[in-house]
Amino acid sequence: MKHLLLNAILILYSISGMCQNKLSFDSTGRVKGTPVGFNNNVNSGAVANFRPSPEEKRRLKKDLVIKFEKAVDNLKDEKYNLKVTYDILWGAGETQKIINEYNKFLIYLNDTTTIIPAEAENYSYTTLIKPSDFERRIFNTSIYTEKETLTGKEYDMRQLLIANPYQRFLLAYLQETMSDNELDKVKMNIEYKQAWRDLEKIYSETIVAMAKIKDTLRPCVVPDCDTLFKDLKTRLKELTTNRNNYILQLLKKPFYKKWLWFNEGFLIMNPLGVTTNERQYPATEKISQLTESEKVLILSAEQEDKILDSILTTRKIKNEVLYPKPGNTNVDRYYYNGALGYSCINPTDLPNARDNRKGIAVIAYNVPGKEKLDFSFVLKESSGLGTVAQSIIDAGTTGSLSTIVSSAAGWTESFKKINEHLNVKGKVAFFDPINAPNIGIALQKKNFSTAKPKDQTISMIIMSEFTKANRNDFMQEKTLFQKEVLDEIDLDQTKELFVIINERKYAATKNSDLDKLVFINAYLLKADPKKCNTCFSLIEQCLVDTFIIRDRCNVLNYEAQKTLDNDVESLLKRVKCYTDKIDECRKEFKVLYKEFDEEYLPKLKAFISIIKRSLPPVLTIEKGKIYYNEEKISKDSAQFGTVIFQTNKSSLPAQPKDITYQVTSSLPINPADGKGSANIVIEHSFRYAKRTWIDFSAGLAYSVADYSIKSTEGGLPKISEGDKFRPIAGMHIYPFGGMLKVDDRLKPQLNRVSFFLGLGLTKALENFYPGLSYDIVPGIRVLVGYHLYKDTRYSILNNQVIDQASSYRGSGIFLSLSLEPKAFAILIGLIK
Amino acid sequence: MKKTIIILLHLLIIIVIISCKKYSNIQSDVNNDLYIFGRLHIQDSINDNGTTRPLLKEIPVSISYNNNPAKILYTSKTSADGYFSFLNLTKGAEYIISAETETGTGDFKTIFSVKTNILLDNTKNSLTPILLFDDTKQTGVLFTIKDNASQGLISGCNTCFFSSRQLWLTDTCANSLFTVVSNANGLALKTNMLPGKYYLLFQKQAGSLLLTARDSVIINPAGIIRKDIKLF
Repeated sequence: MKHLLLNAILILYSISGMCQNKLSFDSTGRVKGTPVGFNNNVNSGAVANFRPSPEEKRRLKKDLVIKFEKAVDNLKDEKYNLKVTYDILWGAGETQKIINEYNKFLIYLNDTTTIIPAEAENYSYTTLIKPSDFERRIFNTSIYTEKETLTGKEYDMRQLLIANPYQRFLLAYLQETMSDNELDKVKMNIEYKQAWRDLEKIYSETIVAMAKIKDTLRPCVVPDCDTLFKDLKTRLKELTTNRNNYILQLLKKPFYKKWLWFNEGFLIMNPLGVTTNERQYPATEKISQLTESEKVLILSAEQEDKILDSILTTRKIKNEVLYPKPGNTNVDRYYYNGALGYSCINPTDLPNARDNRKGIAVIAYNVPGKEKLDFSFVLKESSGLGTVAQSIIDAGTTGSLSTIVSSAAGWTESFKKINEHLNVKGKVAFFDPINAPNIGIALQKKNFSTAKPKDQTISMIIMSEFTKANRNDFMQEKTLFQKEVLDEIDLDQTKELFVIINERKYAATKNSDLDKLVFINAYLLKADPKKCNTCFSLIEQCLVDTFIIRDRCNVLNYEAQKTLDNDVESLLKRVKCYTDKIDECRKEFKVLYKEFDEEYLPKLKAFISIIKRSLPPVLTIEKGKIYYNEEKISKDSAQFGTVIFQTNKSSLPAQPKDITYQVTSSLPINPADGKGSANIVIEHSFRYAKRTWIDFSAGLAYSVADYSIKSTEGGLPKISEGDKFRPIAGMHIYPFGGMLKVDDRLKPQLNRVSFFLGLGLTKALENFYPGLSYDIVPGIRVLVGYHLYKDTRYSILNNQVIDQASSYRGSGIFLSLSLEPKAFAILIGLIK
Repeated sequence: MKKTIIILLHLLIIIVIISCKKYSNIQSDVNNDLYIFGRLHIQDSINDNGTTRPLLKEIPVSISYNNNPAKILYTSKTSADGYFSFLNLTKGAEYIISAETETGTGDFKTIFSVKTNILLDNTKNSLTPILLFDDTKQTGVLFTIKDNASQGLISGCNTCFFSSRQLWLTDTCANSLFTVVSNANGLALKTNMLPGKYYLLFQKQAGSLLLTARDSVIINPAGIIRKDIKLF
């Protein structure tokens, strides 16, 4: 009975020690408390309703402020012609309404208080949701969720996922707005592609028409501009007034108005910039604003998939918590919390000694993904240092939350840059008669008639460069081009010209006419001849055709300096004659071009510049959940993980007396000093031995009750009082798992309870001491039991013993304090 | 080895069982470290004045259980002044302390005995057994002779025992079997008599007056017959 009671107490004690807290996390996603012992049944309520932090809210609102302000700015910017285009699409004055909405919404975004300004909240939005809805859907929603338990062989895993509420909102908003406008029913079919082809066709024909204008102007023959542009004008008018174009019909839908803010005012067929394969615009389709390489880069399926993944990945693994499956008792586990500097979660469970019956598992929670841990045993009384454990699961790293948040905006930025680049190219490709009206007149800026002799000399020298075949002749004739004259040249003033000539670097003798032309161009424009060669090819060709070729024999056909001024003057006059003709042509072209360029082309370009022509993805939402089927969890490793180092029984080292396990971190102790390669974050020492099942002890027993003993010394039996104190020795049997002798903790342990059977060291066979023993610390034992002593019954007749019989009877409870033999021997002085 | 150990264990168990059985069958006479002590007294109204006084001589004294008086546990001897003790007795047991002695001389040498019960417990372990004239231990008669007129005890009275009526009728004590003279207490005692019928003649010569009385008595095989005799 006593034994059962003691067992029950010890079992209850051990059960109460195993009862642990539920798995729960703090606001940073770290495991908090003591997760030791949790299991599948205690996961409810593990994740509190943590919401985006005020700092995250402030940051997102700040980003949105930039986005909205850019949208407003872009919508107002005339260079993009957005307002005109959108008014055509959605009706006059509609763009201004959108701008007004954005400005109201900006009041909310710029507000730093916790109360939504009434001015922003009460505005009647048609393209935006109300600020209060925005708050509710993004900032007042939980960011953490748990993933169902993943079952492993020995350990189960539970993942804490952190969501990006803004990104999640975007997906939901996309789905809602698409559904409202039936955009989910639009397919990437022939009708859709053909509409784009039509637009592209108009655009390409326009470009061809422009090239035709340039070609027409090259010979400096004044063209019939009305005839030239007639066809083009007709087509453009058809385009801008054609309500049947499928693309234009789509763009009229409110959906595109509602997403205008997201792309900073620019139209895009697919607001998020990515879609699924079946709704992707084929890269084989013509997109005139992109080169083939750009098309491959921007429209590649692989690239699309990556971006789509990032858009759909609204949740990442914040923390992976591994915990042992119930029932595995072959391993002793010690839990550490990485968030607390790897302090042991329950230090009282750390043994100062252990046996060899079980393996060891060191489990560290909240280990940052970037941190690498290694495990080793240090055998202090052994010659070796060996790593015998292996990491079961190592935590990895996960990208920051902001990475995903910014991915959609980053794509928009990319698009904008590409668009700008294309616009620049477009402008370059066109002759700009407005910004460079006086090309020919520039020739007069150099007044040869008033030039100083050395300037004239310079001119001559340059001429000689162009007519290199004759240069030596000039020099040999020793006319004005004496060496001494050359020596007088002010190099500083002539530097520019020399540079011009030197950079040509081709043999003028074989192409003297062109070289002359280059010279003239250079002189006219005082610019890089290469640039002239490309930017002003029109007038250049005009000169070549009508001036140089025809007058080739007269250009700079002088004999001496006295004729030079005349020749130059003549040259200038002839050039001016032709440039005047070209100017006349240019004036007419300018009027026509302006009409084309400012009225029709921007409108066409506003549509044709939509290079992302894929349709937005159709996302299906699971009923009752806020997640989408297509939603993904980041494949990156968790930001925090669980690292388990586990050894099985056989992999434990041999049994020295002292053993230490260490876990070292890849992170230095003190990064500032550049040291710390052996950063020991977990270290625990214990003594290591086998368990004891049988042991012996000796001590002093005290029999609580009085008892009598009989003897027949001297004839008749005598009765005397039994010894209450008696030295005893006996054997202990430890049935509850065996005692670990090296564990000298005072902590109560069931395995220290033993059955004892002892004998008196005096009158050994006449005194037995069975009982229960408990090792306060191994080797020091308190005993309680029942003292049995030998009793004899005598039958007396007339002063003589006529019969007798002996047996053992109990004297009552005995108490004892015993020591293991060695300690006992030391105590009584047998061993020093 | 295992077999041997099992066999030895069985033998050990058998020995223990046998031992225990015998042990349980024995009523131990030595159980507690208790004792009885006392001092024998004697109350002798024959040879003495009948007052109780310590027995001043060494005589055997024994102790037995009350429920089994025949089994004498211990026999001891009193000290010269009558003290005795018995040790190692059992608590709660009821004992009988027995003693017997002869006192007096001549015809008055008689047996005195005592049997005293005592229930041994913690509160009582001493006693004072008093030896009394034991009628059962001897065969004979004890007459108390008195003067009929004064009712006073008469000493020096001859008590003559006749076996024959004819001789008895002769009134001559010379013809009697034997004669006993009453002592100072007026007692005439005759023991160790053979069973049978005896005729008695009492004569007391008081000066010139001869006081006499006649009687008869039948002696049983055991026991003392007491009678009061009045002389006329």
